[in-house]
Amino acid sequence: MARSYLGEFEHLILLSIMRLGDDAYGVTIRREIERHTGRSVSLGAIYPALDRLEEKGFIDSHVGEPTPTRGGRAKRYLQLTPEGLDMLVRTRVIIQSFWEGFEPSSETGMSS
Amino acid sequence: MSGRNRKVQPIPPRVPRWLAALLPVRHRSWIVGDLIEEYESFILPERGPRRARIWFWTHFARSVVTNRSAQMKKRIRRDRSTDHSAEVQRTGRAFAESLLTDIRFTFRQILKNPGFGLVIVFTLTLGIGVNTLCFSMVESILLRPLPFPDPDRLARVSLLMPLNPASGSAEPGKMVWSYPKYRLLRESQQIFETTTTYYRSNMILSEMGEPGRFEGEIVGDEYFSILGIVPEYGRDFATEVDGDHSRDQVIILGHDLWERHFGGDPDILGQSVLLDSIPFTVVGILPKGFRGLHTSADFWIPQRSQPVREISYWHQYHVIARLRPDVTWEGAQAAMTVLGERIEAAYPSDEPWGATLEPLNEYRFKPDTRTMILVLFAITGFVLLLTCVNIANLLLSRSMSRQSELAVRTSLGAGRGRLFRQTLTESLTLSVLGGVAGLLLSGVGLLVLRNSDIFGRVGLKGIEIVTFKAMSLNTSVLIFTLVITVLTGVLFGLLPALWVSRMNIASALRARGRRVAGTGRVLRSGSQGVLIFLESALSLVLLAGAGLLIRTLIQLAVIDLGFDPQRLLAAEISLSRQEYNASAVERFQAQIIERASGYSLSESVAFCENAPFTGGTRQSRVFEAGDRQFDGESGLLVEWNSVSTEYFRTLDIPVLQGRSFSSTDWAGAPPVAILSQEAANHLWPDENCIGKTISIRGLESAEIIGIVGDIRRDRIEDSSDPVVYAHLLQSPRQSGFLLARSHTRAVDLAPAIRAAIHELDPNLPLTTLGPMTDLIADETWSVRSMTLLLSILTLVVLGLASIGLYGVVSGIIRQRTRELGIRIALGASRHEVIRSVMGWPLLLSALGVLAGIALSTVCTRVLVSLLYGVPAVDPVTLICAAAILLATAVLSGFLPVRRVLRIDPIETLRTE
Repeated sequence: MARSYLGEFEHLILLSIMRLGDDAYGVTIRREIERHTGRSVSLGAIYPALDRLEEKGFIDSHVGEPTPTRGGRAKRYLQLTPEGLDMLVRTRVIIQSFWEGFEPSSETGMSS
Repeated sequence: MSGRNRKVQPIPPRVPRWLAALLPVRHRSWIVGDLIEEYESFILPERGPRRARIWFWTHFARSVVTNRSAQMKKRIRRDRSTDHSAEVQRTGRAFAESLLTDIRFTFRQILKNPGFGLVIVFTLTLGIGVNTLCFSMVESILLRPLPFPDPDRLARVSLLMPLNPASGSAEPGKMVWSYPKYRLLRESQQIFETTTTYYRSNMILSEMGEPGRFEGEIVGDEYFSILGIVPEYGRDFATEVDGDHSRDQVIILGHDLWERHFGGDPDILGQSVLLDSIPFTVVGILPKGFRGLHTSADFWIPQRSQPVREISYWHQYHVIARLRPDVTWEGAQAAMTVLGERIEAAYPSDEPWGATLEPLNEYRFKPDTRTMILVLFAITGFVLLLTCVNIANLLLSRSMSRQSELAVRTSLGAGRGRLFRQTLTESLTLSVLGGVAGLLLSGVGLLVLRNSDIFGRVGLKGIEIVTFKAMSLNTSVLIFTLVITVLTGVLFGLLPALWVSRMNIASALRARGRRVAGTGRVLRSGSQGVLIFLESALSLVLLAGAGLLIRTLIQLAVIDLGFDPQRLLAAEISLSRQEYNASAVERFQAQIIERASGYSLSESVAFCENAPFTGGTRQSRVFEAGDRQFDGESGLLVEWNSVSTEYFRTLDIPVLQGRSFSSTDWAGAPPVAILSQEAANHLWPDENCIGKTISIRGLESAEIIGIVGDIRRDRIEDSSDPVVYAHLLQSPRQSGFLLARSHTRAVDLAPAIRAAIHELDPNLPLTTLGPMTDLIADETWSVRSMTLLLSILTLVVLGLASIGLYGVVSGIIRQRTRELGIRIALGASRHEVIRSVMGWPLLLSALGVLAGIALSTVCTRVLVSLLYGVPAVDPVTLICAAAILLATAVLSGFLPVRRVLRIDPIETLRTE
């Protein structure tokens, strides 16, 4: 086990890949994160993170066919490995355990 | 794509390879591909083309920045529990944010102190703008090939004259062709795809009776197709009905002429215009921009329409050619050598002639023009360098006077790196502002140059104009501007930034909190000293250059031309053969001289074929001098001029021996000639030639009746050529110049002359009518304009240096106000006070001046080609320049020093 939990950005990327399924690559991952978080992330930061995740064995990548829409360049598709899915689930469990018994209230933000 | 949506899809932005190289190889194609895909599929439909492009490039930039940060972080040993990617994001964003803050800070500073900022931006605008303009000149002249299709295949073919030891040059001179020799070229070569001839001609063009004299070119049929010039309307000469020679009198008009004189109306096609009173049919109109290869031409007529001179030694025809695609330049040169031998065999001469060719790209400029442009470029670069030093000094002074504030910021945690970055950002921002404004300035300058007629005025011809008009703000020029903007910003920002980041905070804070008690040890900056030194040295070089040019102008003004150009009016008069036969010409010329002489303002009037400084000349070889015979091309080459009786008196040319022309020399009398001193010395170096005979082409066995002084004919700097003068009645000419000397000013005579000509022939166009002094002034145009430019730049630079020095001295005084007050109270004399304040800056200036003198001995050599009568390293000029500079330095410190002397010692003591 490389980590006990995932970092924020890597987490978001893995979640996006999970949601996107077969259609996970640079553009879609970026837009998925932007859609969910409201933050615009740059491709220049995504790709190194993808490299790291691949190193750790959480995702696999393969390169697709070049398409004219991309100016003749190929796409790098990503998908979750079983270890990756496992990591996501575990992270979720950890976060849920923190929220056990707490309800965020609309006024004070916290109540027990 | 539905039928409704018929909008054309905009092309996605292209990322050039060098830009994409900013991204690492691994991710490069994915990132660019993703950007393009997102742009096309999502952003473009959502936001429209313009905002989409902005999005594209913004995201590209962000990707580069964040990627870089990510790579950097990867190398650092990671803490297991830290999330680096978010930090990477943060670092990237923090960097960008601090950059923006710095830029905003810079703008705030400028707004707070607009004078300071504006001075800097203004000088940068001037410096960068002028450099960009010069670079685009250099680029279009030297770097870019001619704007014709396949320009590397175009060649200029010339004859090679035999080496003439008298001319003093090591290279054989090039000559244009005679028609028989050209025919030989056409028949016996295989290396050219096509060849064509061209030469210039001056004709009177009239239509609807409005005459004007214009320049044109007489060209071969393939002229336009070789150059790849397609008429905007109509056709060129090549697409002509074969063999039908009744259709030879055709003419193609230039674009400017067509707009100016024919109203830009395409209906002129097919109509006739009169060229020297002969009708020519207009068959084509050229696109804008082309003015011929040889001259500033407004029209073109085919060679076919003119009689060909079948004289083997009448060299008039310029030849250009297009090489066959498979021929190399070496192969072509070899073929030329063979051709040269063949020509020599067919038309033998005393010394062998040859043939050669050169790429048209290299034929473009007189070496003088090329040199002048390069010199201009070097000077503007130099001035920019000096400007950087100046601005660095100004910024440094300002930083020094704000050091207490900076010290507080540092101690509060701004960090040295941050301060360094902030100062450098400030410099770069100022530089970018100046660069953008400079680019706009140069754009305006280019527009003005391109649309003005300045190139014609300056004497640029044909192919030179083509090149100049092709100047533009293209990619290379823009890249140049970007590079020098950044370099400039770094250059003048580095020193202040370094100083700020290395500042000794402790002592700066101490100086703020406590008063320095008369230690006399001022916070001198080594950097400031270096800057003052550099400034003085470089300014001296500039001053020396300007001084040399000014001295040249003075020399040119006092030069002895050999005649007196003052109060002299020149009018060009050309009579067409159609309307004037020989006797009509003689009558007209006699009448105009008589009328012009009749005016009370006229002191003297004459008529001549070629007047000085009008560019025309006629040459011939001497065939016979006394008993000696010369044949072919071995005789002395002289200029010869047909002049009226009063010529020498009107121009005030001294008659050195014998007599001038008189009324006894008329058409029927035995032919006479007058020689210039130079001609006499060449032909009869040891004897008196009065009474001997001379023969040149067109003048047989003329008796030499007098010798006159030499005059400068066309360029003031050139030495005089030998001249043979014939009398106008014995050697009549169809066209020439009326020269009239006025009792008062030359222009006063102009209306009368114009009226007289008009009376005699209302249809005669007057193209040149003006004082001789104007014509001469045109000659020195290049030196005068260079001097003006250099003087302006020098003044600007001196102004900046003064401000800088003022700042330095003020700074010193401000730091030492208390100490000086005390010293004055204790009885220090004014001299001591002044010396202690200004001593150090003046010393550095003086040292700089010395270094500058040494530097200028090297640098001013660059101006050699422009100088006249003054050596490139001239002690007088250098001493004057040094004196001016030192005086400027003293005066700059004057104002702050005056303040010092008015310090009230009691006041300063009280505020202790």
